[in-house]
Amino acid sequence: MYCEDVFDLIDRLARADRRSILNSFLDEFLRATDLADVAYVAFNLLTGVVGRPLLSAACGPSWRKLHVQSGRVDLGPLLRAGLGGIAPVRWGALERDDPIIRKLLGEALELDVDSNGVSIPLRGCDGEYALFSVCVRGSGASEMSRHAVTRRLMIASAIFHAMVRRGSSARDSRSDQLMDRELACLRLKALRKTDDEIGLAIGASSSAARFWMETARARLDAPTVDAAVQKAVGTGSMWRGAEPPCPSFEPIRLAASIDWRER
Amino acid sequence: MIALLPGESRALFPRLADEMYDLRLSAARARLDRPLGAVSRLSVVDYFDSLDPLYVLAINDAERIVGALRLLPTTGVTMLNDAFAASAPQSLRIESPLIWEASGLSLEAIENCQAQEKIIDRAVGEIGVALNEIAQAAALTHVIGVFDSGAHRLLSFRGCAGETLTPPMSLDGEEICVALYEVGAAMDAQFSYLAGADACRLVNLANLESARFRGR
Repeated sequence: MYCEDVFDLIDRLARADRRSILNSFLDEFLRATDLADVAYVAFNLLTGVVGRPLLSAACGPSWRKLHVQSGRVDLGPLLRAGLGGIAPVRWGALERDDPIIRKLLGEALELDVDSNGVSIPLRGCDGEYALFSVCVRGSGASEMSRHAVTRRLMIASAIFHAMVRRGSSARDSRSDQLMDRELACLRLKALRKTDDEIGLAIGASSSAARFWMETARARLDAPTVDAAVQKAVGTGSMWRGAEPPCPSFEPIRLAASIDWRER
Repeated sequence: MIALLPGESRALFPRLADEMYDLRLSAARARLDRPLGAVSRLSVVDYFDSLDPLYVLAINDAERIVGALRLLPTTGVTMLNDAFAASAPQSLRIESPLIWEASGLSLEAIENCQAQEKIIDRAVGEIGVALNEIAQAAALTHVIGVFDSGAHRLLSFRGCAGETLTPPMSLDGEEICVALYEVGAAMDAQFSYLAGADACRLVNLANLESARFRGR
C-alpha cells in the first residue's frame, strides 16, 4: 500500500457517514429474533451512491453506548476475531494470549455482554466482506445444542446481511425467483410429504430434496424451511404456473415475526 | 494428516502455499497430458484463490502435501455461481450460508495413480473426512463439489463422488462435474474407510512451514 493510500484511507474513514439506517435495521432485527448484543461490520458493501463506502457498521445498544462514551469505534478486535475467514469463530476458541483478543473479551465483560459469543464471517456476491458477532447468552441458547445455535446464527447473520444489502443498494443482484426444483420441493413440503417422498418425486435422493429446500429457504430469506413454505404461499409464488392440489387448500398464515423453530 | 490453511494467512506460510500451488500445477500437467512448461503456475492460480478460501491439505508421513482442496461459502463469489454463469442450466445459482463449495481438488501424481494408489486413497479419505468435520463445525447442511473430470473419475472409482447435481459443464475446454454431499454420518462413511485409522490428525501450520524453511 502506498503512503497516499494510507492517508486517503484515513481521510475516507474520517468522512465516513454514520449509517444510522444500519442501526435501525439492527434494532428491528434484534426485536424480531430476540437476540441481543450484536455487532456487524461490512467492507465494500454495494450501495446506490457513487463510490462504495469502505466501511459500514452497526452495533447493538450496549456496544453503541460504549462507543459514544469512548468517542471512538475500535475495529481492531472485530477484525482480528475473524473477518476474512469463512468459518464461524467461537470466542471461547480465540487465543486469549493475544492482547487484541483480550481487549475484545474485556470490553464484552465490561459491558456485561458476556464473553461467550460467536463471530460469523459473511461473503457477498458483490465482493463484500462482513462479520456478524453475537453474544449467545440467553435467546433460548441454553436449551439448544451448540450445533443448532451455530446454524441458527449462521442463518440469522445471512438474513441480516441480505436486509442490509436490500436497504442500502440501489439494485439487488440476487434473484429471489425460485428455481423449478426449489418450487417443486416447497410445493411437496406444503403437502406434508417426507424428504424421501419429495426426493422420489423429483427423481433424486432425500439429501438432494433437503438441499433444494435449503436453497429455497435461503433465496426467500426465511429462517426455516417451514417459514419458506409460508412465505412462498403468502407471496403467491408457490402455485405460479401450477394448480393448487385441491380447491379447499388453506394458505398457511404468514408469521408475524421470525420464527426460529427447528424445521 | 491434515493441515488447514486459511487463505488470508497464506503470506505467513509462503513455502506451504507454494508447495500447494506446485501440487496443483503438476496435477494439471498430468491431467491435461501436456509437457512440462506448457502449463504455468499462473494458469492454475485463479481468481477464486484471491478470495481467501480455506484450504484443506492432506499431508503424508514425510510431511509433504499430497492433496489439496479449497472451500468457499456459496453466499459469496464461487466457481459454480460465477464461472459457469453463462453455461449453467436454468440460471443455476446456489446461495446459502449453510452450503459451501469445494473446488480445486488436486492430488499428487493423479495420472500415475497405480503406483501411488494407497497414498491417493488416504489423501482422498483424509480430505473428505476433514471436509465433513469442518462442515459440521460450521453447522453446514451440504457441500457442493466442483471437480474436473479427472478428479471426479478418481472419486467415482473410490465410491465417494457424491450425488450428481447437474449435467457436466465445460470450462476452458475442460469438463467439470458438480457433486452434492450432505454433511453428516453418510458423508463421513464415504471417506473414512479410505482415510484409515488415526490418519486425520491435524498438523500445525507453523511446524510445517518451519520444516520447509529448514529445507526438509
